[in-house]
Amino acid sequence: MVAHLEALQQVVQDAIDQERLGEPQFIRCVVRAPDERSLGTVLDRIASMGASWFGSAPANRTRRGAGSGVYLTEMSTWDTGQSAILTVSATIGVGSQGIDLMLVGSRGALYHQV
Amino acid sequence: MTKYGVLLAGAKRTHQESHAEVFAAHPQCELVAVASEKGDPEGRVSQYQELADELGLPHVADLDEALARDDVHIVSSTPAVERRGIVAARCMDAGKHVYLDKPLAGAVADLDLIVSAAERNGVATQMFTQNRAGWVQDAKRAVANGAIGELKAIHAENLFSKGRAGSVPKGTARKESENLDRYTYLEAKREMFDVGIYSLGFIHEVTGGLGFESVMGHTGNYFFAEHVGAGVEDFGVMMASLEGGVTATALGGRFGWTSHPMSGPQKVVVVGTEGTMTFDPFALRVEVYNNEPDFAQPPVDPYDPMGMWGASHPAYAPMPKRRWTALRSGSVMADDVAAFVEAIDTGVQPDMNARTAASLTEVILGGFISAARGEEVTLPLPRE
Repeated sequence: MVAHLEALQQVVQDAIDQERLGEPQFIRCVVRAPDERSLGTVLDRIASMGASWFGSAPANRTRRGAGSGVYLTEMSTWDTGQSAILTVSATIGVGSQGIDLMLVGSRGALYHQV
Repeated sequence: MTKYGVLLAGAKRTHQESHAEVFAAHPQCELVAVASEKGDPEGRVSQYQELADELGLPHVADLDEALARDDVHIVSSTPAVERRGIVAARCMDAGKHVYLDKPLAGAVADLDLIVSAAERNGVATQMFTQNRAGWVQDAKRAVANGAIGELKAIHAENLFSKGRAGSVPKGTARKESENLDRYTYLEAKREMFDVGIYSLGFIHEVTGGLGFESVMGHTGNYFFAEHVGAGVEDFGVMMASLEGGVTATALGGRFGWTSHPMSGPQKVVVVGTEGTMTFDPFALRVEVYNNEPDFAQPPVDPYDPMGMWGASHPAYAPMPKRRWTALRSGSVMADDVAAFVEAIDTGVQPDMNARTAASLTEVILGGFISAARGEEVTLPLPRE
């Protein structure tokens, strides 16, 4: 997953740098973590990717699901208007993707599902 | 088979266009007339007349006069958001069953007005949702059957791929206001309000009606200059706490003709103790790539710049998006109206009745307050 996320981060950054999306405005990402112990690590990783794409850290982060052993969900907002909804789950996916990303910019959107 | 006369309380360039088409096609329904309020408080009586002319129906410019007719049994109510409370309550007080545009209304007082009128009169009420779509029902069954164990979290999204995105000036950030006194504009709608209600409907349906206890909202994003000009959001996100400690997230908005290969993303993700499942109406699809022209944005329709309604002239009609074809098709609204008529027949109140619809609409109003204050808001909202 690490290599996958690194490649994904770069390809998305290229799309942003090429101004194919306009200004990045919103991220929705649902990711499956390999196990319960890595929920926080994976969420921090995709949150970091989002902050990188938006160019700054969020002003507010609200996290739910800590202690559930099953999922973490975070809503992040930026003072410059952007927002993100991130969910990491540790239960087996049934017909669901390992990574399901939607990045919406001011003039277009980017999708990645595996 | 009981036949029902249907009164259309809504104008051209509202959802009444599609409501009318679906009711007209229902074998138990017959369109009777178009009615507007006396004195034209919406200021669009000409659009009521336009709809009546197109449908070959009389236009009654006095709602009370139309409601007094014995051949009116159902009202399809789609007035401007600012008039939804008073119009719906008036229809219910006349003893009519009411099929309601979504969201229910734009103020808590109007929500309460509708709920009390519905329950005082014992009429059937139903707000339109997309909950009868097959993929939503699949998600509902999966959760109800325990396919993911105990439900812990749910995400729902619905975005409309319409309008010319990219027109917003660079660096524009939106600040929400608690004073929601206007919803109706020619060139814009409040889109977390108007589209986000579908996502909340999905959550209601899939969770079996778990109540919302609190909500956080954010409406800072902008894609369209039209929304900047009107000062309303084109997109919004919510995170809510539901009964039983379930976390819910929801998206609603409009993000541009060319931002999605179809009508816009729709999705429900459910996370349980035993599994995680995703439901997406476009997941099962055929993709066709050939030498047909790719989709291109239509010219701006001066009567409908964001493409909310049917084009005012064929020159403004969008070309069809044909790269993707979902394996499932059908009319969600036809199924919704059929269920409403069946509820009237059987005397069983629809699930998405006025009370349920009001509670979901109140979540969005709470989301706006949260976005304005930058803090979580407890539900239900306080009454004055």
